[in-house]
Amino acid sequence: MTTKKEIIKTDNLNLWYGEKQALVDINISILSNKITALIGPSGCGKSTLIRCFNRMNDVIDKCKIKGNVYFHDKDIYGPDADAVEIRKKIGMVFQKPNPFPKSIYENIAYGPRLHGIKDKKKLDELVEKSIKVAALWDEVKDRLDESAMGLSGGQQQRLCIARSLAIQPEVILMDEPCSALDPIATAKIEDLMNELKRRYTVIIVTHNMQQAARVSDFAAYMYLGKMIEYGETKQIFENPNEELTENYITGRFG
Amino acid sequence: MKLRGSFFGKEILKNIFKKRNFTVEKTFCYIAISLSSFCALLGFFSMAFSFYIGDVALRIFLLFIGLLFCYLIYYSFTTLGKRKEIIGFTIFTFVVFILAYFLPLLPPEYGLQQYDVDASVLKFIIVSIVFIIVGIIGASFAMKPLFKFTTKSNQFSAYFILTFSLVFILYPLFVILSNLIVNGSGGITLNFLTENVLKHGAEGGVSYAIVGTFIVIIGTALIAIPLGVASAIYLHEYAKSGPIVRLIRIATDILQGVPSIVFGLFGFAVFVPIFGICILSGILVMGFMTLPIIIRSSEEALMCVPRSLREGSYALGATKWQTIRRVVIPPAIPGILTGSVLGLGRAAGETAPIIFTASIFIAPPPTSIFSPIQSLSYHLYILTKYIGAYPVDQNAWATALLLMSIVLGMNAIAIIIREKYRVEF
Repeated sequence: MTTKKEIIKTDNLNLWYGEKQALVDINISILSNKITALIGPSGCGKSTLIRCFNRMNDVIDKCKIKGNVYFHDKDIYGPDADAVEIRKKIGMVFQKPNPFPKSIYENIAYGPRLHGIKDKKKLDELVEKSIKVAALWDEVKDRLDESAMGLSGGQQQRLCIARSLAIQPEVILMDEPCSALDPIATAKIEDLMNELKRRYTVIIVTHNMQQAARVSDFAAYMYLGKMIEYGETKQIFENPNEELTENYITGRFG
Repeated sequence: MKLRGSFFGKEILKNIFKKRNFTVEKTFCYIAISLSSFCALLGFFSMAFSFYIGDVALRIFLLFIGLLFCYLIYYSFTTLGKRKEIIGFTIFTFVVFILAYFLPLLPPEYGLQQYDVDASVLKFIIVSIVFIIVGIIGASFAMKPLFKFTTKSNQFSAYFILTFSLVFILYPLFVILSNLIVNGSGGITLNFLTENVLKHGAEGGVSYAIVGTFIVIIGTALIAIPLGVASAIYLHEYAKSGPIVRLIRIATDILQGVPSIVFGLFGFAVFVPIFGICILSGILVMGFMTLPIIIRSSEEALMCVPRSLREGSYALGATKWQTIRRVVIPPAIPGILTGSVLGLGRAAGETAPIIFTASIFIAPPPTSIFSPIQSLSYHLYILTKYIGAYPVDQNAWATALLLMSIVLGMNAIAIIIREKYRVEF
């Protein structure tokens, strides 16, 4: 592949919640404009790892990090790094849809407004564009002023994706975005991911093996805080190098 | 083999109720339930308005209930074939008959004459309590044959008892309000609302006191709400949980438990030497008293904003303050306002903190925050002391009713805010 370009890279990343070590010596480099899936059993540290990429773990008390995470070769945990700036570049979608209790329009406009876009016309454009990319436009175009809480779960999740697109990030982190959704909504979001990868880098945590196999280009298998195997999805699913990976994927364990 | 019950006129009644799927037995159950409920309500009312229904009426009433239960026992025993279950019924009926005989025999006097109290005071209280108990037990018992002693009947009995406990909770409020309205509404006239105090409060009205009360409420709000909300935001959003924050929380709780008279004394010792007896001293003390309520309720409101919303905001590159201002506070505002209005409602009704700090009985119209004021609660306090010395009863009741209406009005506002602007997550 000619366009192989690293966008996020970790270097011996270790993380502790209090006394408990959640991540052990993680080394992974994520390529831009690809979908990378993190798989593994519950509690293996997938979500913790993905939250390291945009410093969401900062919010949690008693969380200690050792090692480096590079975004465009710049250490995001370095002394001159600003978590707020990093989160503008690396958006995130959470497991449970979490729209703000505001109107649909306000939900999307929230991010751009934070970053100083005040022009109404520009905001309108941005809102429309983001909702369109998230494949939600047809469903909500007539009720942008209604509360986002009135949308269905799948619509709310796509709204959250649109919300994170509106700040024009480079990377989108998705932490089990479909686990609270039905298969139809899941299919819509998977289609959306394939669209997104043209412009963005997507990292997704998922419990659903088929989903990882369907949507991702690269996959990483994690177990007990360690990165067991990382490679192209096809190779991981068809011909894994490690026995642990094979056991998990074939369903012999987990 | 089941024995079928029959009694005089059954066929006629049966024909009447046939169309509506009523049976005679059911009808009797319904009568027993309604009569028992009525008995309990009668108990409540006789306690609220201090009346005694009289020896003869009491006997007839209880005997009637007892006879109805005799029929229900007969019906349960013969038609439904319940043997064990009717033991409770039998005991209950027996007790009702005994009460019907003995209650009127209670001596109406309990040596209370020396205190100049209505001599039959204890008798009507005992009778009311007995009526409430007999009524509740009777009604829940009478449900059982209605549903043929199935689990459904237990369900209904439980439901009935729980409903009555609700009535019991509302009862004190009902007694206070009804007494206030009965005695006070006559005194609330246009003159009462628009005139100042005349003749030691026996004539004239409370116009200055109304104004003073509202000045105190507004002043307290100006001090306590900004300070309380700010502390709550700091405590809940910024402060790292640790021994200091825990200490502050405990301190707020203790502050909430400080008796209001102690606050009054504190104001008298600290503020009055500096500012004198004036609005400023009063609202400072009231503010401190209301502060813990507002801090607590604001913290509760902030706690209700889910963590996922904050994370969503952080993930969009918002700073902490941006997140708090735009995502956390807006949905918490109804809760904060509700708590604040409730706290202010309490301040509006308090007397002790302003006795020594802000209020005097007859004050000129306030010109600045350094003038003393009249207030409704203090006015009521003085009028109550004057009862007997001056003819102030009418005005005292009217003042009490007015004060109660203001406090209730504020509580109503709080409820409206909470219901109307509640945010669902």
